[in-house]
Amino acid sequence: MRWKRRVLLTALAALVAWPIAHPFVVEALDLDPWRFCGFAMYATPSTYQRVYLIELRGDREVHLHPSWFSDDAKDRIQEYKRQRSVLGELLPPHEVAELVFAERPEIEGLKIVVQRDAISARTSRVTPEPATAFLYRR
Amino acid sequence: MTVASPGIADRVLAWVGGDDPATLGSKFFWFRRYVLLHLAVEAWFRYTLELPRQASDFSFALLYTLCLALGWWRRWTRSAGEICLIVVLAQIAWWFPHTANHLYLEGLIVLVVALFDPERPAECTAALRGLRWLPLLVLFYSGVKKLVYGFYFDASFFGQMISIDRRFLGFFRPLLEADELKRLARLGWPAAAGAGPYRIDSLPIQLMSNLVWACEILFSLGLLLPKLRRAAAVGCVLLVIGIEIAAREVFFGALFINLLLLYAARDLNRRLFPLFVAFLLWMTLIMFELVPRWGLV
Repeated sequence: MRWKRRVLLTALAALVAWPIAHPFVVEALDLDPWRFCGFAMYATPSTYQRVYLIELRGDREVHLHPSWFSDDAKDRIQEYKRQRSVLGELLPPHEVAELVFAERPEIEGLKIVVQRDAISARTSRVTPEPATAFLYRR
Repeated sequence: MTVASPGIADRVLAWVGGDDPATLGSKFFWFRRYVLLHLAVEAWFRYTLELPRQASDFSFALLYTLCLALGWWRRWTRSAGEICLIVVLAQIAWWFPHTANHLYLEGLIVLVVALFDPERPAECTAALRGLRWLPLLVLFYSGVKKLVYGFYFDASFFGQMISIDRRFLGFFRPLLEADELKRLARLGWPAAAGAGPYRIDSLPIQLMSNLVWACEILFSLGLLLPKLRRAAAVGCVLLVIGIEIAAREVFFGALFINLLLLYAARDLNRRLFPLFVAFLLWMTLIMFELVPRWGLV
């Protein structure tokens, strides 16, 4: 009986402590506040994850349109966006870069920019959060 | 014989109220039954109505049904809880990182169900106290999070939900002027940078928005005060019903109300069990499209 009570108390202690840490972890890692048992569902509006693929051609930057990729690649990029919107910085776009290099052999340099659109609590308007850029060379 | 005085942990556990020995075992027994029934029906519901159908959802539904069948016999009730714990943990892992918060809560509930024996009064006491802490913490933190993030002060949260979710659009339709409703619905989501504002200027809606987090915090804290406990529990039940009228996560709502019933002096988990079975039966009939949905899903 004693060990059972200990397990119960440990679970309850975690349930007390984790939701306090949750917003700080969410903020630090750009996670989705609705997830990870922080009991913040319905506390914040939904956000929207944007992922921009940009070819580095000398000094120029050329945006890569999704229609330039195969259906499989488009699905995988879409899936990355879905996962990234939840996992934030825990999921850098390395696999997306590999995918782009595999599909487009002529590309030598690639920049992937990820950015989240959110509603600002202050203005109540859509405010893009600071973008994060990842640079890749073949 | 000496009786050991309760440690600090036991005293903290007991903050959520004492237990009448006459109803202790019965409350835990009927709550366990409801949990097993709930998990099985919810899993079949998800498998049937969420398209495209997933083989994983079918497997979970089948395993929960096995747990339900085992749990119906007293002889196998412990094993049913233990298997159910493995299944719910597997489901949490399967859906991670997209696991919904209610599934984590179900995991904690099943942990208690699996750990404690309903035939032993001392274990029932610990189990019921542990279970009573769950709705208290969930409601308290839900309210605090709404307060901290600040989207409920000017009802911005509802504004966005109206723009993207027909459940909320339907709920607020009678409460908002047609022009405001049209404006919010047009905003949509995702939207261009600068789009908005999503705030709702209607005073009654702002009042309602702020009442949500205030009631979640106050009613949950009320569960800790012996003199206010019963009233707070009734308030929590009404609040959950109100929230579910808009959010329509009715499975979660029914489970949560069952958790709150554990605060009742009388054995309401047993007495109201047929009502909740009727609810699950109705949801099963909805699953087979034999009855109208009545806005439940």
